[in-house]
Amino acid sequence: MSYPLTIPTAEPFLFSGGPVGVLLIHGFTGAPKEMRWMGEYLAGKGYTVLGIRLAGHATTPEDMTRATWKDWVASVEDGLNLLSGVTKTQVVSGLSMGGALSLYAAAHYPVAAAAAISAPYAINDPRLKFIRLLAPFMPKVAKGAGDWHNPEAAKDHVDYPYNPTHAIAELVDLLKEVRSSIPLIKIPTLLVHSRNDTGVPPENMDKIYAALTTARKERLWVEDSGHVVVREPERFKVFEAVDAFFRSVITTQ
Amino acid sequence: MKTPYLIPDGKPVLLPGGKTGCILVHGFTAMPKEMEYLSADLNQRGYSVLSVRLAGHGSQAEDLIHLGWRDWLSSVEDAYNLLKGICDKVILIGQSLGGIVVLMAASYLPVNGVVSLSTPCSRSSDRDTRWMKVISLLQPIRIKDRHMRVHPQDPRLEENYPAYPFYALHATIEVRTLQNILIDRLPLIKAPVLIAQSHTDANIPANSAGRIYTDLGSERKEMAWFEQMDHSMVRDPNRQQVFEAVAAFLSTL
Repeated sequence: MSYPLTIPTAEPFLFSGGPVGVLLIHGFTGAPKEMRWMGEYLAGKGYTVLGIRLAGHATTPEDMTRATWKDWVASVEDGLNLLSGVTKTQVVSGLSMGGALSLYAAAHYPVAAAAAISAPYAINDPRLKFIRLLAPFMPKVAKGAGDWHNPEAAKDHVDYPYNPTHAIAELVDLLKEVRSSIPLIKIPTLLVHSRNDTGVPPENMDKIYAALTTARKERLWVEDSGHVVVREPERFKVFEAVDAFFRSVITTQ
Repeated sequence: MKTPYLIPDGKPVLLPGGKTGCILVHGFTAMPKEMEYLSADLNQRGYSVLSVRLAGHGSQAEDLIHLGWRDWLSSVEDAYNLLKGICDKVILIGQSLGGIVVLMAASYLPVNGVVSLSTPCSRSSDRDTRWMKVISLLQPIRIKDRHMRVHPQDPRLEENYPAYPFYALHATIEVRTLQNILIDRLPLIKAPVLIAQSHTDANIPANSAGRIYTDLGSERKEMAWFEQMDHSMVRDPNRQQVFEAVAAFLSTL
């Protein structure tokens, strides 16, 4: 057994700043590290930034096998509660499953705006119906090939080497909750996706956009990027758009 | 699902203050509200305070079953990594199980001080835990006391204490396991430690504080004994005595 349990460089982070706090949520099998560049950018723009660690992540895949989607929701609530101790207004953003959790937070918690990046609407695979039954017999599912456009970032990316099968079943259940939450969102929401995302195909953004009934919804497409948009060559275009979006919401409040 | 998922008493708390930060960790089956008086006292004295929610706590008793000591320890690592973002010095303070977890974290994290309150310390044999494992399969969740009242507004809460009205035996085994691991690691702790216990605490072995004191590797270690106090020092009517002792210790770090 080695300590700390958290993988070095992958720790959650808190950057102090102004009265607007941004909660950043990483993706499935990912780690807070993937949100760190975005966090540093936003802290530079004056926000207070909290990059959470979702339960079971950034340690060992065995820890993730124990966690449920409710534990991930609880991690998001932990982060928002802590952030509200040091800021007046909170906004939320996340990547992939973190994007889906941002939409969940936008529907259910008192946040002012949300930006969901590379978020899945649904995973279309008929085999998923049986995944929970399968999990005890096949505890690991191999990951697909990466779609990185930034080989440097790919090299020191921190995530689990495989998908714990039980956790996939939890992700499926979470996405069901998120789909029923999207029409409840009443706050300004920005969606970001890469046209070249092979992990979560781009039509997911169209489906989320269509399901959103909030008065203000916006879309941003990027090209020179794979799934992990926040660590890809076009990331600054995304960071600037998210900052501008949050800023426009805060100043019109 | 009901939102928020966390019980109001289960929300973690961040109170901004000076550059020295205190991480407060509640006990087994309890939740952040257990530490509210000590949080307020320390914050008033100028410390930044982060009152942690241990994973599996503050939501519903079922969550105690699938999570374990690694998740509790990760919760404290998270708190450390976040508080480090806004503080130069970090002190860990834990009540009961919280004391076990903070001592464990102090065996490898470079913290500036540790306070263990009413912390149990005794080694469990494999035979003890084997029996508990068998019983836990038959009775995963056990009502703490048949006569104990459930909170009228929220059946997930004890009426007179911010804790679950249930034990999960699986989680009790996790406490024993972590205790055994900690006992072997006490000599690795180098930070100054204050150990507080009451002579009238019937919930933990009477020689717990003495055992921790003897095995600690710290050059600076202090014991504070109290009279006529329950296990829960942080909510006892005479708690102010304990808070004064904690404050006196912290002021020397």
